[in-house]
Amino acid sequence: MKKALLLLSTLSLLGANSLLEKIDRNLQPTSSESYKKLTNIEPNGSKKTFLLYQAKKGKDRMVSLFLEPESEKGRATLRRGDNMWLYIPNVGRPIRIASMQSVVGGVFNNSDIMRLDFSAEYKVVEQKENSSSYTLTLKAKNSSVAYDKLIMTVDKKSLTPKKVVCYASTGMLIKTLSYKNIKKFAPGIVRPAVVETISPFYKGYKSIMVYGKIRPKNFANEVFTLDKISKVGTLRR
Amino acid sequence: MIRSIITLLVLWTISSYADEYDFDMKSIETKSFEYSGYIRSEYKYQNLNQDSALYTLLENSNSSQNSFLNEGLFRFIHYKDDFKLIGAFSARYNNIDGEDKDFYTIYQLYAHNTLSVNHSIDVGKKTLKWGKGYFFNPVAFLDRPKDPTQPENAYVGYVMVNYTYNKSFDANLQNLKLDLVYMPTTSKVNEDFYTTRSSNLAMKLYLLYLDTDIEFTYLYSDKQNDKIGLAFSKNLATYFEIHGEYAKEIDGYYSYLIGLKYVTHNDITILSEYYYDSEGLTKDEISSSTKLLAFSGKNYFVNRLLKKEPFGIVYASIYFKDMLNTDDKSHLDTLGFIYSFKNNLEIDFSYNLNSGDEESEFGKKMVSDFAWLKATWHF
Repeated sequence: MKKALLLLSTLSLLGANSLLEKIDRNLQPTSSESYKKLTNIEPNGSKKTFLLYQAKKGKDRMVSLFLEPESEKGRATLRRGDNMWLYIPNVGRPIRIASMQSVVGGVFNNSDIMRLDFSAEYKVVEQKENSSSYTLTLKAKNSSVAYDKLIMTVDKKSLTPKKVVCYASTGMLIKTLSYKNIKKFAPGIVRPAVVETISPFYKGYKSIMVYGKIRPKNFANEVFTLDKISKVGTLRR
Repeated sequence: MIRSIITLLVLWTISSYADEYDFDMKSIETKSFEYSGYIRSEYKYQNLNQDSALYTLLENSNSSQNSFLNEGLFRFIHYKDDFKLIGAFSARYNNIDGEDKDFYTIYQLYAHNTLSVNHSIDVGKKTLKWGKGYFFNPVAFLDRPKDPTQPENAYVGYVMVNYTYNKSFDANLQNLKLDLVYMPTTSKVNEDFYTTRSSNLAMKLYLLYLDTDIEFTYLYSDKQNDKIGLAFSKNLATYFEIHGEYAKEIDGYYSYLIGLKYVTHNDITILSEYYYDSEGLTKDEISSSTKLLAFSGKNYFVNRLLKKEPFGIVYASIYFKDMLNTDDKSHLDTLGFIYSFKNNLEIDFSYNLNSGDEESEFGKKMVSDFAWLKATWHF
């Protein structure tokens, strides 16, 4: 009886992990390009906006290029699994950076901006559901992942996240992401266009990420190498 | 009535976020000519060390010195099919205690051609920036020496031909990149690398192997001794990186550096590097020299601590840097504050102090301490 229950529980989690992969695919095709606008809003209402171009391939490769503001223009980041590099035009060569650091300042850190597929970094350890949503508890696959545990509420109809709550390994709440405004970006890509983030570490601050364009695009593997980090702008053409 | 109030509240909430939720598609249109750069003004108020031998060479007996530097840097990329033309120019104006000087520099100007996914070639004046060190780069054989006090500044390139082969793999060896460089010199081209006609061939083999950046470098010259080098960088954890470089001139000097970058729980980034140069000046040689080139000693230990968003001030950083000549125990210490405004203006204000025995490298500097304000507007 115990064995049967264990088997059922294992099968259910296998299903939950494939559900997580479906959520990933609904958020972004395996190989794609996108444009994002990030706005940091301070408690006094003042704002700073960043515009990014991103190219992604597979589960764990991504490059980003800052198009705005002028002070960040030309900065590029490369993520290949747990490896992250930052290229600054003046410095002229890539340097390794950490996922918990922040290139842009404010609530977003590097791993929020260069987010890989959830299923690349997390496994589902618990799944619950009600009539309109699933609630998945995700555990980081290794200690290099920025957040140790995520509680993800998923809209059953669109199979996209509604809310993701991020915790440290100590159980401390780090931030909450709210997904809003479902929009069709391309055939087969229907997902929230807005992700709002708040964090108890930044009381009164809010960061808003708006997707302007997402489309499937195939990239050569060489795009995700240090040689190309200074040439990300070429991909947009 | 209540319904109207709720409707108004909802409309007000929507309108207050309308800007943040909007996306201007015009902002992502591509252009064939892109440019960026900055205009920077610097002011230094320097207290002079009246015991310094260099001070006695001054034509005046002032106890302090004012210096202004204004610089405009313009970078561009022109895209045309598989070709790109890349350039960076600057114009500088210096004023030290009323004495003017101006400089016009071409940092880079080269054509890039993507021959295929794996092959590309660059021809023109280019900065290579080899190596993994932050303050020093002994393996950067074809780069101009770095100023460890301003490692993030732009550096002037050399005229060269640079062929690159780049290949990505799904294995322990994740990436291989081979650079082959031909750099000639004459009395008019690259003359500060070698003053007369010479041919220089260099190679850099980069590997991303088991999540480690590895660089092998080699320089062949028909007029100077050959040089070989090795550099690496690896993240031992997401918050802890180590790097190092070793360079050797055949039948000549050798130098190396080891370094680390560590991010603490409260977001302080510690960057430490130890650098050794076998041909650097010893304590006695420094003591007996009047004029010294910057960082010409044998052993240095440099530490920089940077705290982002101190006291919860977003877009601000404070930093402390200690540059120590470990032979004569003299220091250059810097305490600074950086703030990035939302209108692309950045200010960096620091207080810098040279200290050590009066015969030591930093203790004998003509400037004992200085306040330094840099304001940079990016465009």
